[in-house]
Formats: sequence, C-alpha cells, structure tokens
Amino acid sequence: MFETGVRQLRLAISMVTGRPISARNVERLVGDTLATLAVFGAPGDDLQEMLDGPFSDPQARRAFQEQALRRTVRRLGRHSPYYRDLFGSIDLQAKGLTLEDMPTVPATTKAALLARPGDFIVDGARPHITTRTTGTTGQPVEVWLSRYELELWPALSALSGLLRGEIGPDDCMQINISSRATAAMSQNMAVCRLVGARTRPLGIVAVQESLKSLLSGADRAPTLLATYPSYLAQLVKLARREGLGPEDFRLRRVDCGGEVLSTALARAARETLGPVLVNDTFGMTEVLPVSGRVCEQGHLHHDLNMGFVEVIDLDSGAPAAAGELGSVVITPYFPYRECMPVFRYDTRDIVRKLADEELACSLAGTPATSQILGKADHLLRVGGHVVTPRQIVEACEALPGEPWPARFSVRAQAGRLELTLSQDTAGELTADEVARHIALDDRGLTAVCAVVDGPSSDVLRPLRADLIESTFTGEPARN
Amino acid sequence: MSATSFQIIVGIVGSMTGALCALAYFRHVRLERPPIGAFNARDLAVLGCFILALPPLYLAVPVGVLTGFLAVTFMAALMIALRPLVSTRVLWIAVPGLLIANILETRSMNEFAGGLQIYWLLTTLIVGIAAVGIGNLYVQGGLQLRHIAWFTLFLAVCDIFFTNVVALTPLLAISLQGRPLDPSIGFAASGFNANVGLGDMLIFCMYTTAAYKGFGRRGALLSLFVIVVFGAVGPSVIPLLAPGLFGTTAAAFVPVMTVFGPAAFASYLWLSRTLPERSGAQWIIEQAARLDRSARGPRPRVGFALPAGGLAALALAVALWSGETAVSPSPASASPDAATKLESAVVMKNVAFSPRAAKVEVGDTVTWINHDRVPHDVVASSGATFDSGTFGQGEKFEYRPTRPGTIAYVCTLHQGMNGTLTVMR
Repeated sequence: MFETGVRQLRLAISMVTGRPISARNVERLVGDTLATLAVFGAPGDDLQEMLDGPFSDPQARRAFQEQALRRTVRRLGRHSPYYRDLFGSIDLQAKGLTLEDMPTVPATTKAALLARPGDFIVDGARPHITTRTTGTTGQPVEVWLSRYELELWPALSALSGLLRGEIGPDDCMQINISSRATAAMSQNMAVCRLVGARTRPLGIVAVQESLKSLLSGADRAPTLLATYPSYLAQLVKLARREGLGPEDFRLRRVDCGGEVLSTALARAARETLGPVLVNDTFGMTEVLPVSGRVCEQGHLHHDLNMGFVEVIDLDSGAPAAAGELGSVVITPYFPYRECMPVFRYDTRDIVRKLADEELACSLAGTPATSQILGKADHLLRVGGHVVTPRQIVEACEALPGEPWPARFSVRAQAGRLELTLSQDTAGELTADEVARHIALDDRGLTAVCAVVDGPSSDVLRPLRADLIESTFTGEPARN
Repeated sequence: MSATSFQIIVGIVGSMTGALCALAYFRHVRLERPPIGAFNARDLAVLGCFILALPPLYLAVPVGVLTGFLAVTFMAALMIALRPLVSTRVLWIAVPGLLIANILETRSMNEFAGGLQIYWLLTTLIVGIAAVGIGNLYVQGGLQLRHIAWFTLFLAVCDIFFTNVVALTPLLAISLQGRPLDPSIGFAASGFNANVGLGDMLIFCMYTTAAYKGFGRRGALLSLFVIVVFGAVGPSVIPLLAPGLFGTTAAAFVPVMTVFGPAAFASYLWLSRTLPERSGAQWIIEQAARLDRSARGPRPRVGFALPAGGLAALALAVALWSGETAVSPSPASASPDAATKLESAVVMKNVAFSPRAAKVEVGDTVTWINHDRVPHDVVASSGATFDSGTFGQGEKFEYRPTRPGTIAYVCTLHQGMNGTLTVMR
C-alpha cells in the first residue's frame, strides 16, 4: 500500500506538472493492481474519479485543459520544426493561452503530414518504429513512435483496462487487425503481457483460420477479440454457416474500430458469439494515445486526460454548435505524445456535437459527441439534407438476411442518392426492394438502387477485411 | 490488591476492550480503500522501521515538538476511525476538542481529586479509538494473519533488544507517563498505575480482526485467548515467576511482545494447519451478505459478551454504532419479505461488480444489488444461462446456482463491467 501510494503520487505529479511519465512506474502500478484484484477481487472505492479524472466540474476541467495546452504549445514551439514555424507565423504564445484561443490556431491536416512528415518529428526525438495508416483515403500516413511512447501507452492502457475489468490475467486476446498496423498490434500485445493475459496476434488471415482459433483451446480459448467490423462480419457469417452458436465460444468482449460498426452487425455478433460486449472504439494512429469510449447510450466519450478534443464546423472551421455535425479535432498533450506530436489535428471523422446537459449516462461527467458517423469526405448532400456514411451502412446492414459487411458504393446525383450494392449484401432482394427497405421510417433514405455482381463489384467501397494476409495453412507441407 | 493484580486487571480489561471493539468495528464498519493497493508484508516492514526509529526520537525531541507530533498523528487516526461513523462537521469539532481536553487536563490533573483518573480516561479513549481504527485500516486493507504473526515475532526481538541490550523501552514508558497524549491506555487507582502501550494495543486489534477475517469465529476466539493469557497476564506475572529475566534495571518491566509474539505466531501456525486462511475477497463476499441480512431486520447488537465495567472508549464506540454509520441499509434490501436464505451479495457500484470474483456453494442464493444511479443488468456469458433484465438503483436480482463450475457474467449495458462466480460443491 505504501509503495503503491508513492507510485501513484509520482504518476500524479508527472501528470500535473507535465514531466515525462516513467513507464516503469506505471508498469509497477499495473502489478499493484493485479495484487489488489488478487486480494479483494475488485478495485477499491472512488474508481470512477481515478479513471476519468475530476472533470465533472467545468472549472477544474478548464484549468486542467489550459495548463496542458500551454505545456504542449511551449514544447512544440521549441522542439517541433513544423509547429515552430506555425506558431511563429501566428505569434501564438503558450503563456496566457486559453481555450478561446484554440480556434485561432489553424488545424493540422493530413495533407500537411504527408507533405512535411520529417518536420513533425521533434528535435532530439529518437524514432523507434513506424506505423502506417491503411491508406483508405488514398495515401497512407507514416507516423513515427519512440520507445518511450511504445512503453508508456500500453502501461497506461493496461492499468486502465485492469481497473475497468476490460482485461485480466485469465483472458486470452485474439487480434485480427492488419499486421501493418504496428502501433495497435504492439499495443495490444504489450497490454496482454503486462496483465499476464495470453495473446493470439493473427492478423487479417483467412477467416476460417481465425474462427478455428476462436474455438480452439477449450477453457483457454480467446475471451477478447480485437478486429475490424468487416472482419467481424465475416467471422459471424462463417460461424453461422458452420452451425456454431453462443455455447461454442468463450468470448466476453469484441473491440471493433477503423470502420462503422452497425447496430445490426453488433446484434448479430451477440446472437452468434454469445452475450459479448461489442464495443465500437475510437482511435487514430495520428493522435494516439487519445481515444474514445462509447457508453451504453451510444455517446462517444472522449479521453480528457491525454488530449484536448474539439468539434469544428465542416465549412467554417469554427467550433460546432450543439446538435450540429462537425469534424473531430484532437490535440494530444505532452508528455503523452513525444516523438511526432500533432496540434489540433483534423481527423475528418464526423460526429454530431452534444450539449453536456443532454447527457444522462454512466459517463455523464465526461463530454461526449455522437458516435463517429463516417469520414467528412464521404458525406453526401441530397436535397438540402446531409447523409452520413453511418446512415448508409446502418441501412444496408439492416437488410434482411446476412448483408454484413455491406459492400456498396453511393453517390449523390441530381438531388438523389444512387446506391449500388453487391449481390451478397442485397441477398435475395431486388434493387427496388432494397430501395423500399432503406426508405422505411427509421432510416428514411430515398435512393435509386442497383445490385451488381462479379467484376463490377470492384467499384464498391473497400473494406479492411480485404487487407488479407497470406499463410501456408491448408497447403501441402513443403520441405 | 498488589501492583501485579492491578496491572493484570488493567491489562485484561484494556486489551479485551480494544480487541472486541476492533472486532465489532470490523464486522459492522467498512472503511474506504483506495482503488489500487493492498497492505502487505512490505507495509509492515515500513511500520517496523518507524517503530525502530520512534523510541530514540521520542526521547530526543523536546516535549512541545513531541506533543505536536502526537497530536497530528492522533488527529489523523481518529479521523480515519470515526469518519464512517460520525459526520465530518462533528468530527472537526469533536476530535480537536478531545485532543485539546487531553492536553489541558494533563497540565492540571494533579490539582484536583480524580484528575489522574480523568487523564487516563481521556487518554484511553483517544488511544483506544486510534488503535481500533488503524488496526482495521490495515486488516480491511488486505493484511493477513500470517503477516501479523511474523510481525509480532519481529516485535518480540525488537522488544528484547530495546529492553535488555539498549534499555530504551522502559525509559520511554516511564518518561511518557503523565505527558500529554501519552500513547498508551491505562488506569490509576488505590495508588497503583498501570498501562498498555499503543503499539501493543494496535497489535491486539490487528491480530484479533485478522484472525477473524482469516479463520472466522474460531480464529477470533483463539486470538482473544492468546491476548488474555500471553498479552495481559503473562507479562505481568513473569517478573514474579522469573525475577531478573529481563535485566536488573528493568526487573519489573516485561515488554508485552516478548511474551505475546511467540504465542501469537504459534497460534497462527496451528490455525493455518487446520484451515486455509480466508482471502480478502472471500471476506468481502461474506461481509456484503451479512450486512445485507442485518439491514433487513432490527439493527443487530454487538454480538460479543463485553466485560463488565468496560472503559469509556467502549461506551463511546457502542454509542457511535447505534447512530448514523456507514452501514446503511440499501433500498433494495429494506423489504421484510426479501430472500430469507441469502448467502452472497454482489454490489453494483461505480459501474463495476464488487467483488468481481465471488465464490459460492451450490444452492446458495447470490444477490446482485444495484447501488449505481444508472441501470444495469446481469447476463451470464458462460457456465449458466440467466438474464436479469435491466434494473435500476436500489433494485436487485437473485440467482441460485445448481451445479459446480465457473459462471462468467456481464452487464450488457456497460463496457467492461463483468464478473465471475465460482460455484463450489
């Protein structure tokens, strides 16, 4: 207890003063948490405040945010070539910076990261590993991470995960994300190592192989699954085809990210895999380790401890009003981001801003937005209305049968939606029946539909499940 | 009456009162604990360092500084002990008031009849509550009997060293008497003056509660027996049985731990061979179930036969227990027609199940009680099939397992809210 208190004090001092955090110290706290769970079976009192911070008080939240932002501006202004130029050009001073000043700082775009990647690496940093985005928007971004970041983030995640009961020593995590997503892959493996859980990092291999892995090991079979919604959809489909049901799996949680997770797919996963929690997580390589959690009421609650989150108007860049659509802009604080930090990074992920007073969920003390509604570049304007990618995915994946993962392309043409679906997604429905179905009251989409099969389906939206990685499994042994 | 008889009486009454109060506190009052951290052997090592450093420090520092140090220490200890029982506003008046009364009374105790007795009552009250509270803090915080048993052995060695090699302990005991906030309990009458040190009282409280936590009623009874025989009577009669054993300068001074330590360790060994020591998690399950049961009916009285003529500390403690305490009946369990055979309870608080891992036996009724303001449900994910449906604050769900095994369950409304039931035959 005494040592734990000293470690917590060290961590708190680092967090408050903005000094680099000792990953070793956090790892020891993970060990203390494991010991606490072994003795008591559960963490102690006041857990919520420890995890989410005292942010229900707007004054305390504001003071913390301004202090963290000033610290981050000071560091970037001194050590980041890109931000030295930017802050110099707008004469941004760390001293006296307030939240109201933030909109005056131009948001950093993906284009800037692509154009001047070297200028984002801070002076004196020692890049250790690179992680690339998947390039779904056309061009991958390469983000460098330092050893400090690679050690600190998993330690903080392991601590939080253990305390929230999201992972424990008895768990086994199967990872079905692209092996090239090195940050996420190494983070998951390191978290498992720290808490003493087992890991099966498979990558995006043939879905049969992953399903077999989910079933193998009897009482040591995977309890946690980290994957993309489209890959989850393929797993669920195959499991159903093979007559598998809840009693065949040991899963207790599925973490999905990178794509829109539809309500229909989440429901299907629960029906097939058992009463698992299917989480729609939010994370982005460029702004790691800032992330978000979706509560029971479907709000996306942003991490206030490690970063500053804004929602800006898509056209003007000004702060979005409550109820309006906007793009999520994130500033990871120093010392959580060290090697290649960004300031006011425009993720182009669309959300609807919520007013604080609208929240009545278990995480009401933490500001929230709607769930991610898709990428800004994929928004469609039809007849004065904005249609989000989530609306399309939700509508397509709610079609009868097993339409997930929905393969479609959509565009706004002459004031109406033109939706093209694969035969797999449409199932036995004709194009007209699809149109009638998605026009139902709860979806309300009016579209001209077409169903395609064969080579023309190449024009449909790409899915992360298509980032398939080869293995020799199933081939004859070769010596 | 001889000085030895008086010392034995004071020793028995004082140590028994402290131990029984600690036990009652342990059964009825839940001290808050931090989200991370459990007391373990290393914490006792830190405590040991303090114990080694304090005697020379006590003797070296000026009286004013020592009184200030003791006042801060007792202030913190009393706040910890009484916070679950008394409102904070009352505490901020009562605790400093008690300490100031002790300091003032010490200055004037020789000026009126009964002054010495009042001094001892005030000192005993302060020290007794501190020992009960801090002893519970350690034991409720995770300390087990095996830790304490080893610690008593360590203290026995320390006591022998500081009595027979470097005679600091007798010197300290004499020099502290009559000073403000003397860290001991005691009494004076008919020209006799007898006391038990705070360290010994703390060990008695910790030993009894840890024995009860780890081994149930059998452990508690054995610990009380060991305290009476080897903690109260033994040290008083040894000078008569073996004069000079503890040196010439302290012929009549036998540090309690030199006798109690080996006996406490031996009794722990015996207990641990007959039963495995219960973990903190098992104790939490049983405590939650018992608190839930007791909250249904009339408030239970302290379930121990208390020695007649209990000290003022006991009177205050019992009075406090009958008032507002941390043990408030949950709305869920207030109805008289609630389950009559409740064996285990899992509390849903702060969007988590507590305890997260529970052990029950086949046929036990497990009750989940929602103490959060948000709704929850309880759905088995493996090992059984039950689904509570959503229920709100103050409501509960019951399930009775019918076969041994492990049941994993979740709240489907809240990410990461999960738990397990280990059902034993």
